[in-house]
Amino acid sequence: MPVLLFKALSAALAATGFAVLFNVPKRTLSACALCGAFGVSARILLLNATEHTMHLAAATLLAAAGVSLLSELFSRLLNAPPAVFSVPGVIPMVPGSLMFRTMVGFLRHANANVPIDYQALGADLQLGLTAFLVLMALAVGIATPNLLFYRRRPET
Amino acid sequence: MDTSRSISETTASSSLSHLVELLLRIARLLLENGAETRRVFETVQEMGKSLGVEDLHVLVTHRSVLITGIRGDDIVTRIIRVNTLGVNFTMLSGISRVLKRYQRGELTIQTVESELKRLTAMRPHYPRWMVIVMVGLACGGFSLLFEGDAQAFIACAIAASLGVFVRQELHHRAFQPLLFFYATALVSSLVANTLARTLHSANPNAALVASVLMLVPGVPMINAVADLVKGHLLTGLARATTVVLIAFAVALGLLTSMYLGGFSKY
Repeated sequence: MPVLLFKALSAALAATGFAVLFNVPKRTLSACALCGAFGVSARILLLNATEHTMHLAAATLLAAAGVSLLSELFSRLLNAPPAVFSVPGVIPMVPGSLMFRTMVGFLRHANANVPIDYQALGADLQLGLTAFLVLMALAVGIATPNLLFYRRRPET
Repeated sequence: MDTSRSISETTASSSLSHLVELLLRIARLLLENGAETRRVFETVQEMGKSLGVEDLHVLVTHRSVLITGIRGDDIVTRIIRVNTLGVNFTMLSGISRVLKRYQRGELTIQTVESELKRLTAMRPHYPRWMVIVMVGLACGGFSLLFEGDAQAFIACAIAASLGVFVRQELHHRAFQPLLFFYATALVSSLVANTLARTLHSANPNAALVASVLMLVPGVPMINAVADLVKGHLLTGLARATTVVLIAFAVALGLLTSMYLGGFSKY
């Protein structure tokens, strides 16, 4: 539990920092922090919810969907578009470190002077695939309110 | 012929081309400040409807917007170029409020224009030093999420702050974006790693990886997938390409600093 709280606080810090970078209106700053903390703690809880650890992408999808629904609420309360809360809110879940580790790994393999290390290549590929899936999950999760509630038929 | 047109333009509250120009300006502001494609479409359509343009056709690419408006016998087609791609949520929020207020009848076309001017001229809410400090702390927060210790947090926060400063300076001097992403990643990761090792952090890699996370193009990334999922494949692919290029530039920066720092394992 204290670990979870600590992670939630770290995530709130990360979300607030990026909210400042994105120049969100001042009145929405604390809501952004809350969204960040909510997303990361929901994801940690979901990962450990079942006997077998849930797939990171699946947990991310659900957590991001939660963040986006929370953002809809804040959007009404604070009179700003939902993206103002949902985007900084999911930033702590962006697989940035996985992405960069993949990229650096691939660049290392792109060296014709050393024999190829298939095991390391496989590991980097796995990192990359995970990062890709998590990223897709995040974006679909953020779009949840649009996909569920604000549907519209294609214009004729 | 000429006289009749000038009369109709002065009597009608606004000419069609004037309205289309206004819609284009709104679309450009949205795209330049981090809106997804669907949002641009919806805002332009809604605003156009309330401005009384009967028929509106919109084409959005990642670097330009084209709008054709039809009202009665008038047809106007205009295109606008979209320059910088940044993120400013106050602008997005401001535009959505302007739209709502116009629909409620609180604004006229003239006041909509002056509101847009006010939004464009607005300075950022947060002073430069505050952005530097807050992004440093944010990256420090990331290093904690990656199981870093207090030393890693400090090293990462300092390195990331320095990185933001470098990025702002290079951005200010109008360097090519990929170049300043590379340079920033190099500086941040070099400082983070050196500092974390000097402070005897148990997990210097947490500081190293977290220190470049402010360079993750998070908004274009999310927008790219959002566009793709919602069927705007061209803009989605264009944004995704940008993201991959930036990620490569940052990875190259990281790699360079790893060789410079004389360590190959991370």
